Amino acid sequence: MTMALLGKDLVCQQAVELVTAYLDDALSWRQRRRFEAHLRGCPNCSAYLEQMRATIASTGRIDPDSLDPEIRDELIKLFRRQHRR
Amino acid sequence: MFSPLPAPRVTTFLAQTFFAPRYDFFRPALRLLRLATRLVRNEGDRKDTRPCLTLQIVIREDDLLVALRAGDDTAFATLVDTYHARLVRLARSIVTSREVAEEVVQETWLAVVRGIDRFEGRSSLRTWLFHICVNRARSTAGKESRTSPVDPQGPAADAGWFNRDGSWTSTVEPWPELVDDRIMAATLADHAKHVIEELPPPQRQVVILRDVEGLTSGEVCNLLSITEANQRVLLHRGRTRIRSALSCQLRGG
Repeated sequence: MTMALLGKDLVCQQAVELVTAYLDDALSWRQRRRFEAHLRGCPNCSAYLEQMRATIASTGRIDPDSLDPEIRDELIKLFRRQHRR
Repeated sequence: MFSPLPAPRVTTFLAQTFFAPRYDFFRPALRLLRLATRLVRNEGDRKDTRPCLTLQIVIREDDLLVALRAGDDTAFATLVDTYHARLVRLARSIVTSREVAEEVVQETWLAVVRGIDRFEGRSSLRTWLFHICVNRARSTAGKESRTSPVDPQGPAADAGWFNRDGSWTSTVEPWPELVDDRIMAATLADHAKHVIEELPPPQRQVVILRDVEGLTSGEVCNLLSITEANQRVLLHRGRTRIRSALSCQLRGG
């Protein structure tokens, strides 16, 4: 009964699939506790979580392409035309 | 003989925070900006490599709206500079080619110009732009893409990473500290960009909106009409693929 309430310990393969939900704070209280307990005892999954964080940070640093000046001019002309009406 | 100083380079920024100064304060600055832009244009292309004065003007979103409605084309230029390339990137994850994506974004701008008076400011300007863009792109791409994105089920991680008992087959080595290394950070961001372009469209859309643009999961679900759970699966798969690619890059390079 106690075992069922606490749930079995997570294995790494399960923990890895919970990373995104964990970072979004979308785990239930119990899932979160299990996940964090697993991390405390598992340097591999802790490293994996940090890698995921670094991945998200890298993705956040992607710059948009530069804007073609011709397209920019066309759009501003379009704005002027529309506004004159 | 003195040659004239290079024209100042003036860029405008759309404030993402609420605490930027008011537009009224910047009216004279915006006039100056237009003058400066004209000067630069008359000068032809910027071959002058001498350092020049760089002015950065930050404009609040609600002030930008006021200026847009008043027909201020500098305000519109700011909007285009801030969002055009980002809208193309978003549209490109829905339609099949870059050319079509450009067309979709042109249509988006037309809708923005026509609809700016009707925009009520209930959502942010960014969310409004993204909504128009996604809807245009979806109707251009056809009926199939108008239904919610779906992705195959099953774990995102490679089964080969784990033993039969679910433990890692090899040690996960922590990545070197990347924060201090600007060149490395730029290289990784560039690599991530290419991996995103290869992702299946539903994953790509969610990764772009969540991790590149920084929207919340609620905003993304609303924008793409998908459930929280579906959104998370797509994001998780996308991120897992990017992490693997970056890991290879770090080990190989």
